[in-house]
Amino acid sequence: MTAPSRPYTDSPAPDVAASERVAADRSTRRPVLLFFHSAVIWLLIGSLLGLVASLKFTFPDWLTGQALWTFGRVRTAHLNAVAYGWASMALIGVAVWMIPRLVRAPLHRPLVATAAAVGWNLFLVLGIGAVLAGWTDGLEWLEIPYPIDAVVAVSGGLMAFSVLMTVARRRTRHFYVSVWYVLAAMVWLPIIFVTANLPVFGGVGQAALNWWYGHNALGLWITSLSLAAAYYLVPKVLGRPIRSYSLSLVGFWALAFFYSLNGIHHLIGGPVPTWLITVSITASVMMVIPVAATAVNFHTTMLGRFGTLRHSPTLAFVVAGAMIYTAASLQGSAEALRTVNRVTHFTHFTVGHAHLGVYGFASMILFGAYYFIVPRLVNWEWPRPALIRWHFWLALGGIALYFVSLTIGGWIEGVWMLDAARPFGDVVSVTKPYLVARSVGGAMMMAAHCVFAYHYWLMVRRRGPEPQEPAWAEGRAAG
Amino acid sequence: MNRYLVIFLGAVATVTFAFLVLVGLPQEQLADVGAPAALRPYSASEQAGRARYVSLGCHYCHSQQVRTPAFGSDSARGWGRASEPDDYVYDRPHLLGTMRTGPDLMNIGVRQPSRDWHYLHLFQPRAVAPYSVMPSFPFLFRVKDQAEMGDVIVNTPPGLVPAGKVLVARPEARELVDYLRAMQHDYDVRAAAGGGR
Amino acid sequence: MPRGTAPSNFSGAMSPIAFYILAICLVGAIIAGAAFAWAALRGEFTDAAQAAFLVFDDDDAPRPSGPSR
Repeated sequence: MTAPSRPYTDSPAPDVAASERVAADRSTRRPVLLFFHSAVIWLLIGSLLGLVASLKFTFPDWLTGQALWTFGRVRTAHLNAVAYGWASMALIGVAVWMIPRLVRAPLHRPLVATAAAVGWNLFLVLGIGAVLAGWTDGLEWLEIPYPIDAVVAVSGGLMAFSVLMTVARRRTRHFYVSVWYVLAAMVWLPIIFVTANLPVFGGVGQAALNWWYGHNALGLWITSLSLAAAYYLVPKVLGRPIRSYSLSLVGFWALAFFYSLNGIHHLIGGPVPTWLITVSITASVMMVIPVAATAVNFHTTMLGRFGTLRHSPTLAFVVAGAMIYTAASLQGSAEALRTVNRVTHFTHFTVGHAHLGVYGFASMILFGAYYFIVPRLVNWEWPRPALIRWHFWLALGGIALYFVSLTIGGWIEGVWMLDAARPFGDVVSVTKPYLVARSVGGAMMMAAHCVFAYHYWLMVRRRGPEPQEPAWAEGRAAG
Repeated sequence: MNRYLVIFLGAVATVTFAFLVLVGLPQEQLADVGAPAALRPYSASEQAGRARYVSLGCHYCHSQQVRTPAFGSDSARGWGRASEPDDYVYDRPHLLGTMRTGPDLMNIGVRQPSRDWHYLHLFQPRAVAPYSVMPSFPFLFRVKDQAEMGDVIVNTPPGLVPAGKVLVARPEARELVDYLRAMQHDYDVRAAAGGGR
Repeated sequence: MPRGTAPSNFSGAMSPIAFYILAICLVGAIIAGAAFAWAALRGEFTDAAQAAFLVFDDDDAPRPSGPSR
């Protein structure tokens, strides 16, 4: 037990801190576990749908007897299940868990947050069922039909109410950086979701709206909450504060301003005004600023402590995720340049980039968050450390294979597509081996999720021996 | 920062500003985009076909935006002239697309007007394009022993359906093909009223 | 480098739109700058470094000992 240190006057005495922590964790236990359980299930469903969709490129006549399993619907079901199911629910779970701890007040009306989780699941079941049945709004990332969207709007509202009221009752004078990202994300998502679903646009105006929403769902919702998690977990596990808090401020506001203007880079070369495209390209390149700020911050915080990666599964996943965030974002900035976009637009290259972000960045951080948070929720320890290693390497290896195969294949596809002398059939044929490799990568990720889900089930059922100390020393040995 | 208000206002301001710049202003600019004289609205059958196109997710592999020669080989591949905002006035939802696993379809009705070709391609893409990875859509058709009055028969190469059977296109297939054949955007988009295709 | 300007109906429309965008950006930047100055003067950013220690206030996992910053 370390001697108490009081770095600043607001810091609570150890016994007060302990009792507040216990109260915070007790209040968040039910809703967070429900979000976490649900997210794991959606991860399994979503990965399976993704694998089926990928295999259909190699076996296009497989599962074509009914409209239900046609590629166009399975792909859509996959996207919605992993984005709004796995990623969103896990990120909300992490946010709901962190907020009471960071503002030193128990979660306000946990039952409301639990109801939100139930509603969110209902939205997904109805929505994905609708998409598979062919009822869709037709806009990428916004396919779930308007009436069903109302369910998630209400659920999100309930969850935001619970979180915001908790923040209102805070005992801290300052907001920790993770709190800024969580609060902002909860403002952003309702605004973009409701606006984008209003049935008042058509034609190219609607295309602009579509991608203002789509890219912001990635940047202002998924990225925000993932960074919130990383800013909490890295210092926590290391026992070392974020190196430059001022840099976090720069990173936050630069992200807010630049990320939101990126959207039209999905329409480069398209029938929209050139000035509009230029604005988004500029904003996409300017993203280097917040990304560099975050990278420098995390790297300098980690300096000299990289050895901890061997002992902490949380840190391994989170640091991998943070590094991939830097790489994926820089790739994105490059992809927005017209010279690069000429080649990569409309190809599998873009798909590789998208998965690097949502899986390599957000999902890896989420896995790390689970390994940290769940023991504190169920008062147990992960019973089989070997399974964590399998999870890590299968997931990392899977996304690496996925990304490399689609990046190379997509680039070649793009170059060949630019050459009008090459028949379109050749362009399609050249991608086929890379699509097979992508399915192998996807299968590895699926295997990683099965391992994770099994271990998660053992954990929440409190199987295995009574823990004496953490599965891997989470730095406690130092104290 | 320790004021929730700062974060709240800042977040609202940034996303609203982005909306105004990315969506609001262009909408203003495009407000006087009118329907080109040569582009007629979709007929009931074409609209139904378009809805089916959306419901089957065709736009996840096919784009509907021809880029200028500066950007790519679109026109050189025979996909048509560069697309303009006016071309999309009747399109709800928009189907601009983000992938070209299959070719751009903005002018598919111009370069492939044959109904038989489309029926065959939808029933079994690899019968007309051996390299294709497009899913087959057999459920849009019926394989019957004998054609009846009013049935739309598809001419098939030998072996595609069992000997002696006949391939009939369901209404869903007919509507979808009506829509695809309506995809013709080769008119002069700036022609005065009365300019034809 | 390809400019990607579609043969378009927008010839001439660049100027007024560009003016509006620049005007809005300028006004926005001034407001943002004013807000930042106000926040700084009110002391929002004075103890930023201390706020980084907030994450350790829940008595869970190692706490940095001594005046290490």
